[in-house]
Amino acid sequence: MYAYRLVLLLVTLGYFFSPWLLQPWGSSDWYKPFLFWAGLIAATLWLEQKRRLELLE
Amino acid sequence: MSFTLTQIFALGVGYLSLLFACAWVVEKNWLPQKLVKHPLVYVLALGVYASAWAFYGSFGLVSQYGYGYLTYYLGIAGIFVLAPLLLSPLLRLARTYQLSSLADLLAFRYRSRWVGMLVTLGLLFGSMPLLALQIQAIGDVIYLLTNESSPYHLAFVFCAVITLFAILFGARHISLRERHESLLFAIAFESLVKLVAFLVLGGFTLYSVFGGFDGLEHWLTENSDTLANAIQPLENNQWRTLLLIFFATALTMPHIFHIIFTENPSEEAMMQSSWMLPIFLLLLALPVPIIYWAHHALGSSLPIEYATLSLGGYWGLVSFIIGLAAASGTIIVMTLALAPMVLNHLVLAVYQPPADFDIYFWLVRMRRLLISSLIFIAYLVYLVVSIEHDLATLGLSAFIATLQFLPGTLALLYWPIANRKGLLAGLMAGFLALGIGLGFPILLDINQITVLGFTLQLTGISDWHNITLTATTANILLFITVSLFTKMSEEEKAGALACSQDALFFPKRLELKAKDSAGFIRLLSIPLGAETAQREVSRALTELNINPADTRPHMLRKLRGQIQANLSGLMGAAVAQELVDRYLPWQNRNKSSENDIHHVERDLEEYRSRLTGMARELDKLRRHHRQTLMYLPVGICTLGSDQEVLLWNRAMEKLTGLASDEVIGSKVGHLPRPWGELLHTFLEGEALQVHHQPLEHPDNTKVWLNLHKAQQDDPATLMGGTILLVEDQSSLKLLENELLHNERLASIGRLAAGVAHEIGNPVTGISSLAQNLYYDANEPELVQETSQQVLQLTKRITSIVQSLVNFAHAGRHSDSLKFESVNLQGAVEEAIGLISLSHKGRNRVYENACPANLYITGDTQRLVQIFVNLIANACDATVDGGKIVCLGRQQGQEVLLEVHDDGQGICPQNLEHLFEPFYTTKQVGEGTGLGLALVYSIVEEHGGQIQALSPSPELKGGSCFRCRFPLPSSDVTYQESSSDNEQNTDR
Repeated sequence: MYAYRLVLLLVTLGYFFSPWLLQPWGSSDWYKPFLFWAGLIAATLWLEQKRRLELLE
Repeated sequence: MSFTLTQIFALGVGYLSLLFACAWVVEKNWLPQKLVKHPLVYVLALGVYASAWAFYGSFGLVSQYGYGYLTYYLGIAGIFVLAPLLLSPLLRLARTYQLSSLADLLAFRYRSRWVGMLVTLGLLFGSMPLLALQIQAIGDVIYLLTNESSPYHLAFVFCAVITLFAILFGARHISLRERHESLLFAIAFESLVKLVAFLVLGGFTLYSVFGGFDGLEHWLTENSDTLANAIQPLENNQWRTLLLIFFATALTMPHIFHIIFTENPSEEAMMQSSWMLPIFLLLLALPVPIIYWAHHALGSSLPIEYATLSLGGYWGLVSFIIGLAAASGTIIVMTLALAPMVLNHLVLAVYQPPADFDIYFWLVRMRRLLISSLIFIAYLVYLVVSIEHDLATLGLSAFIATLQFLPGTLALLYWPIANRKGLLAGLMAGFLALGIGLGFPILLDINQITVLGFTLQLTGISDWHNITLTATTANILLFITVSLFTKMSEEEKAGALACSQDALFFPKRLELKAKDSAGFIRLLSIPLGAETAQREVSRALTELNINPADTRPHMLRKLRGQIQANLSGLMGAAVAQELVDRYLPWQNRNKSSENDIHHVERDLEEYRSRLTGMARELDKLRRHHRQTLMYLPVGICTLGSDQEVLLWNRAMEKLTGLASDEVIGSKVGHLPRPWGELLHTFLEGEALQVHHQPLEHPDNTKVWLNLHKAQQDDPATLMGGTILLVEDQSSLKLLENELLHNERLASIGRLAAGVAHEIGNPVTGISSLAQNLYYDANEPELVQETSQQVLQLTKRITSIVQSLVNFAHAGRHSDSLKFESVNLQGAVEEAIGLISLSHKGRNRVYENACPANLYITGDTQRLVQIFVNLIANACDATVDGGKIVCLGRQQGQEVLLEVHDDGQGICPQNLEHLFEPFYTTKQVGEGTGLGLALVYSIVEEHGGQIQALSPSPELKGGSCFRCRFPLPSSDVTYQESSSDNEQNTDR
């Protein structure tokens, strides 16, 4: 359950700061939004594993 | 390169045939179940979200807002990241209450048919642009690939094939909650086709147009200014609004809702999709800017929405297949989701088939008709509206419209005081704003309206941000305000509690009018017909694994809930609610009743993994207390105020042989014999405790029980009732009986010596008389007189022996008591007679002062045993010539018997221990310490009490034992059995 709060915090922060993703449009670092997105997926995967472990406890 | 219509038609039909084959092999079970049920299939099926708009319309967004197109993917990814907080609770609700659409969910929560109708209409109007967009995308791609001026006929043919597929594989099951594995697999296959084809297209574009990543970077560096100037970047708030719109689609768009909740194989699959779906979407989003830049680099003259066709050649066919896969998947799932919604909330609201109809057949037929109609209407919308508007406009309008359902849906989980009036007011305000802002200019081409002298310019989709904010803000404000200032009905409160994540649902333990499953069938036959009612009740009984003969109120409540859930899956939540409320009503609905503790416990168990902090610790404590009660080695049974069994612990299971599952929810009086009768009688009685209650099992084994009861009345929790505690005293009773029997034998032994001495005298007399007879045989008168004397002496011997035999025949203590009316004076006389035979009892003065007409109810021999023991004790306490007085009298509703002696008396410190087993003040070898314990036990069996007093109130010094027996009632029925249950209660 603590993991869920972390997820909520992550998504809320992402929501407010995500306009930053617009910046690299048309520049050579065009892939940055996708890297950020991949990072978000990795965090979600980690939290999902944590949730599973909590359920097993 | 241009293609002919025939070629495109053949390719399209070929692809759709492949889709049919895909569903067919699953239908025939030709594929391993492991593959069909794999979570990846579910995740890929969720890819239905990527409709034609993702492959064509999103390029329109790119051309306007650059990376603004990412909101389409990030929004829905965000809601999946929040799956444990938003999607899982909704999934549990949808499963528990068989809710198959957003309209069902909201109608269930807000308990309103109007809510269901409004949501259905809103979703219908909101979805139509998206459906039309799919058909338009196919039509436009065909046009661009063939240069045929009229692709409408071909688009129509594709619509017909898609309709056929939807009917064949998506509208087969009767229940809406049934999963369509073949359909899901086909949709997953489509998503895989879309993903692979789009990635291949993107990869090929990257290398063929830019020569790889380096080339792309080089091209971007050279054209960065041009690209930046070509777009109008989203403002931060616009970006966030777009993100919110696409965030809401997972909950509000019918096709996404359908796959997420209705076709979900397990909660675990949903949790896995929280990271797998974002990966899928990331891969889909990646080629979009590359293809867009390639479109620019190649200087293509094609509309930007169709940038995927820029590469030309056979890549156009790949683009067509991608579009067809996306469009067909969306159309199929969207209409499958919308058709039952329209049927349940619009058609059934105005027309319900008569009871003699085959309702299942009618429902399936109607659903198929609605699927066809919806696709046809979407085709008409495509012909009328879509031609004049681009894909981005249509798609965005649809997404903005469905955003209006987000506040109501979130409140469903997290705001229990939200009510239907607030929801309806908010939705109407939101849709009114959208209708004016978007509907007028897009559908009616009205660009200016004047209200109360104010002229309002309507700019349509170009002002989407302000229109969305206005509509959503009006919706939220009215929703909150009206909810805060209006009251909720009781039904609505129940719906709110059932859905709320922050509160547990406390349903009431009400009784139903239907008393058994046959009653359910009889009542449901009125609206559904006998056959359907029988089928639905049988289905619910099977699903709950309930015996049709089970009449427990708890089980009947569960049965009602399951029938409602099943009907909800069949006809929607609103109709199911109405049918059940009307035809399976509660009895005494308005009577205040207690909460259903079973439901509360079940909810707590399900909620357990989500508890944190103090709540988690409290839950651990609750479980600990429950376990303590369950494993306590004393039988515990708790009952509601209506005598429904709420808890039946392990000791009760062992003692009664009745499993908790069989008993919970029953009325206590309906429990199998002899327990039902015993517990019910005890509950109805005034006594709070009953000791040594004998109980005979059906197999003739006998047990002795101590029963205790306590009332619990807690108005705060509405959980009143009674706690019953049942102790098995059988082993203790048997041991006690054994000891008391030994004591009786010891008494007989003690008396035997006196008896032998007493018999000696008449025997000596008989011997002397016999000698006289020998010498005086010739004198008939003397012989006759002597014979008379012998007979008298013989009678005396018989009397002495008979007294001892009678005393001994009291038998084992465990034998049944024979309750009868006993004359107290006679019983005391018999006891004195016996004691006088003993050595110690000979030289005492006895006075039997009991009135001749004083009677008590009891077992004669047991009562004689009492008096023998008390008088023998008095003899022991007195010296030769000592006086022993037995007094009897009636005092109120009691009969008192007192044994006084003028002996040495009893020390005050010994008085309180006198009746304890093995407690004696006599020398070792003189007493067992069980005599008074035996007396105490017998007095208690007779419903009496005993008290020791010293000094005696009647004689100077000495002591007194006072026994109190209940006065026999005039209508006492004496039985020759152990039916003494009412008699042996402590008073």
